[in-house]
This record gives sequence, C-alpha cells and structure tokens, in this order.
Amino acid sequence: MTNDILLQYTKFIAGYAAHLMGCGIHTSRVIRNTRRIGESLNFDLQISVFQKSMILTMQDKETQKTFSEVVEIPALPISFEHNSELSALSWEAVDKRLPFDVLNDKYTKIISAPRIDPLFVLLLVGFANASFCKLFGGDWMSMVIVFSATIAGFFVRMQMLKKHINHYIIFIVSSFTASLLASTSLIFDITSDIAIATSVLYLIPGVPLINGVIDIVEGHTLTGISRLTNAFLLIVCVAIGLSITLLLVHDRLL
Amino acid sequence: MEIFWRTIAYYNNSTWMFQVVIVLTGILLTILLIRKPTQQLKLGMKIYLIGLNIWIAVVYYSIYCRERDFNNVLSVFWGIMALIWIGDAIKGHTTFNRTHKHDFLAYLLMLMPFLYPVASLIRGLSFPEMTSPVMPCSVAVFTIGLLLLFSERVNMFIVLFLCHWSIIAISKTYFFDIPEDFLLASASVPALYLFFKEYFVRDLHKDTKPKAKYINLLLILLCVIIGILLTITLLMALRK
Amino acid sequence: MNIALDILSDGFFAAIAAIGFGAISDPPMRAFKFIALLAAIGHACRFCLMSYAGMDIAASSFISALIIGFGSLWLGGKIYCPMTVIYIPALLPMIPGKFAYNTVFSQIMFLQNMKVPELKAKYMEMFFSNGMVTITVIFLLAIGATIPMFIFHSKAFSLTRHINK
Repeated sequence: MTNDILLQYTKFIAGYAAHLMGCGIHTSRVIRNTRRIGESLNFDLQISVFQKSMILTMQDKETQKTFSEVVEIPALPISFEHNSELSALSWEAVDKRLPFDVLNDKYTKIISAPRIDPLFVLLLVGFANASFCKLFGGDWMSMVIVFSATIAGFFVRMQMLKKHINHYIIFIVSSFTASLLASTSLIFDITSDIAIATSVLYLIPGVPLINGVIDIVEGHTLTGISRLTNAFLLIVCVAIGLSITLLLVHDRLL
Repeated sequence: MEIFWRTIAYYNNSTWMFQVVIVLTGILLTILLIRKPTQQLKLGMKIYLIGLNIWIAVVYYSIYCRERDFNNVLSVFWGIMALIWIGDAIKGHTTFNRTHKHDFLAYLLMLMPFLYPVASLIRGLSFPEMTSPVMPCSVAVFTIGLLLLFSERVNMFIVLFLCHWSIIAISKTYFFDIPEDFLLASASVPALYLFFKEYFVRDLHKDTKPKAKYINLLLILLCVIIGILLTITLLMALRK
Repeated sequence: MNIALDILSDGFFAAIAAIGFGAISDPPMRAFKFIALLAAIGHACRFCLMSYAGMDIAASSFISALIIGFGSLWLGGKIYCPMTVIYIPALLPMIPGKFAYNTVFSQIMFLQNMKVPELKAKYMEMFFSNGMVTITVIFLLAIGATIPMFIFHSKAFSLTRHINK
C-alpha cells in the first residue's frame, strides 16, 4: 500500500470515529466499532478519546508502519439511526471483508440519509409531553395546554437551531417560552403546577445523561464526566428559563 | 368569575372612546391594504398590530385587569407578541401578500370581532358588562384572519402564540362561562391547521424519513383529537 | 377492573411519551414499536410496584430499568439495533420530572425567602429531598438498564451483526 492510500484510510477511519462520537454514542461502542472497521482494512488501532477531540494511532499489520491522526469531534445532533446503521456497517465490513470503496460509499449513504421529519417530531413531542403531564397526574385541560406550549417551545428551539445560535441561549429561550405558555393555565382552576413542570421536560438531555453514566461505569470516566457536565449545564439553562416564569407567578403557586 | 366581568365592565366604561378609534383605524387600514397593498401600508399594518398588542398587554391586562389573578402572565404573553411583531417589522418576514386560497374563512374570521358584541347582546348582556371588539380574543381572531388573507408567508411564532391563545379560549368557554369564545376556538382551529400544513409542506422533500403519508396521518389525528375536544366542550357548555 | 384500567392507561401514556422523546434523537423507524412496548411495560411495572407493592421510587425504577434493559437485549437482536437505541428512549418517561421541577422551584423560593427562617428551612429541606430523589433515580435508571449489557456482553456487542447468529 502506498502512503497516499494509507492516508486516505486513516482519514476515513478518523472521520468515522469522530462522527460516531459526535452523534451521541457511548465511548466503548465507538472504540469497538472503529477497531472493527480498522480490522477490516487490516489495521491495528489504538484510540484515546477526549471531550472535544480524539487521537487515533493506526498500525498497518503488514508493513508495521504507524500513522497518527487527531480529529476534532463535531457537535452533531443525536442520531440513533446513525448509531445502529454505522454499527451494523462495522460488522458487515469485518464479516464480508468489504473493500474500501464499497465501505466508503455505504458510509456516505448512511450519513447523508434524511433525518426524521421536523413536523413529525414536533407533533410527536407535543403528544409526548401531554402524556407526560397525564403520567404526573395532570387533568385533560392541562394536557391540552401543555401540548400547545410544548409545540411552541419546540418550534422556537428548531428555528434557533437552524440559525446556529449558542445552544445555552436556545435552551433558556425555549424553556422560558414553553413554561410561560404553560403558566397561562394558572388563570383556570386546574393542575397548573403540573402543567408548568411538564412543559419544559422535552428539553431534558436524556441521552447524554444516560450515556454519561454508562461511560463512567465502563471506565471512560473522562468522557463520561464531560458528557454529564454538558448535560448538567443544559439542565441549568432549562432551570433558568423555568425560573423566569416562576418568578412571574410564584406568589400564587403552592 | 364576578371579578372577570367586573374588570371588563370597568375597562369598557373607561376606554370605549379609544376602542372606537382603534376599531375605526383597523377597519380603514384593512380596507386600504386589501385595495392597494403598498409597502407603506404593509408597514403601517404591522405598526398598528404592534400598537394593538401593546394596548392589550398594558392597558387591558396591566391596568384594567389588575384585580384578576395572574394578569402579569397574560400581560407578558401579549408583550411578547408585540415584540415578535416588532422583530417582524424590522426584518420584514411577513410579506402581507395575498394568496386567495382561503378567502372565505379569512373574511369570516375578520368579521368575528364584531360578532363578539352581537353574541353578547343576544345572550342578554348589556353594556358595559359585555365583550367588545378590542379584547384579547377578538384581537387574536382578527390577527388570524388577517394572516390567513395574506398567507403567502407568515410568521410561525405568531401563529403558534395565537394557537395557544385559542386553546386557552376553549378552556375559558368552560371555566368563565363566556360562550363567545367558542367562536374563536372553533373558527381558528381550521385556520391554524392550514398554516401548519402550508408551512411544512413547503419544505417537504420527496425523500422524508417517515413517508409523507404518515406525517399527514399524524396531522389528521391531531385535528380529530381537537375536534373531539371541541365537541365535548360544547356539550358541557350546553349542559350548563 | 379499575386497577387494570389504571395500569393500562399508565403504560399507554408512557409509550406515547417514549415515542415522542425518542423521536427527538432520530431513531430508526423500525425501532419505534419496541421502544413503545418496552416503555409501556417498564413504566407500568414501576407504577404497580409503587402503588400496589409499596416500594419506593428508587428501587422500583431500578427494577423497571432492569426489565427494560433485558427487553432491549432480546428485542435489539431482532431488528439489528444496539441496546442503547431502544432502551434510552424507553427510559425517558421514567425520568422524575416532578421532582426535578420541585428542586428548581424550592431553590427559587429559598432565595426569595432568605429573611424568613421557617420558610428558608422548609425550602432548603425540600430542595435537598427532591434533588436527591432526582439524581438517585436517574443514576439507577441508567445503571439498571446497562447491567444486562455487562452480563451478556458478547451478545450485547454483536446485536447489529447480520450473520453468524
């Protein structure tokens, strides 16, 4: 293998690993999958993962040549679809010994597939938060109000994400919007505290929270803590947005 | 509930002169805008709407409805609406261009503010303890009508806030015993459905993740649920 | 009869919540039915344990998370999805949102009532008890669902493998 080709392989593997890490997959799976891809291309891989970058060292099994690559981990939206498809791809690569071109094509095809439709998500999230309200003991009217508050809040979030605004600001603004709209339920005699409480729950970053715990338990403490810290900061932002609303209405709650 | 009607009476008594001016300006602007939509008129309409929202936020909720609980929340709600309109006027997002697609519903909605007092009179209420054309719900229904008439490109934030307001109107019918608000709820829901559909259908690609069929099914499911909800509220209100 | 209805409606709403919150994270379409199923079973199980067996929220969340974890190990192999793809959305309806909200609420009220000792103490107590429940439950949920991955690690690591099964 010439150096050019090796470099190309190295870049591909690094891109694959960074993409997995960016779209919310726990660290040990990222390492296993990337190793498998490396094995299919006849490389031995060592990986160190940090919060915002990762270092890969690859050794060609034939020539014993070693390459290193440092990649930045991109901030991608969480995608379970990529998680399962790219994991499956790594197995396929190693089981069928896929040649590099085929592998690259399949990879490009997977990551350029359309994401789930925004309107679909918007409506589903509205229903989800409304049923959450029901689970916490809210009545029918609060469910309806939570539904529309969530839709508005989530729409604000989608629009701001499109404009690439800082995500802490996005979380504050959308949690404020959702909780303010939900707090209009206070003028009626219904379970409005439950409505306010549930209206911001769609913002809770559940995936990084659970991934963080998994990482820590599996010994990847560094990435685990960093994931938990990020999730915690986002939760603080949700709390700030919620507090702005609560400060407006607190005198009559409880 | 007594507080509710008392504040309305207080508001109507003290501001009926201003209300007449606001209504007349509104009618004039709307007619002019339909006849000859120039840039100045469009901007004028936005400024009028900004003023209208600020009026509801400050004069109606902060001053005359001070007696009611949580008037500040609603005041902030309408204040944010005014802010969105200011942002819109600066950025020029809403184009106020006609589409002629939903004209009938739009004209109906724009007449609604005048149906409110009529409905009140039919119910046997008398001035000042009755609904008037410059009240949150009438303003909401007027805005929805206006946006529907000029629906080439609308500001979805405003639509969502109005959507929330009509949902509150459904509950108001039930809790405060004002069947007038049922008008708003039942008329604005189809309008909001139209906004939603058009907004998202525009950037719907051929290749969506759940097939377009399923997305539409979900929208229809939502409308069915809202329809059921409206019917139940109507039945409950009638039983009272 | 009433009990059965309660359990069923609890499961139903948990399923909708899981589908909605899962949808934010863009799961494969084929995973939705299993996400809904596991969320319904898990949440209904926690509901039963808490209201009829008298267990506390932490232990019952842990047991439900274990069930969800094993379920995702079994069902993940059928649709070639990693366990986390199924169990993270299924766990989301069990996140104790009411306690999290009360934590934030009591924090604000604590800061507002610094000058009134009784209220200050009351909100301080409320803050810590709610915060503790929130953190413990979230941690136990994650651990509970991950345990099956450690027990059957070779199976868990090859769920997405299409051949040699």
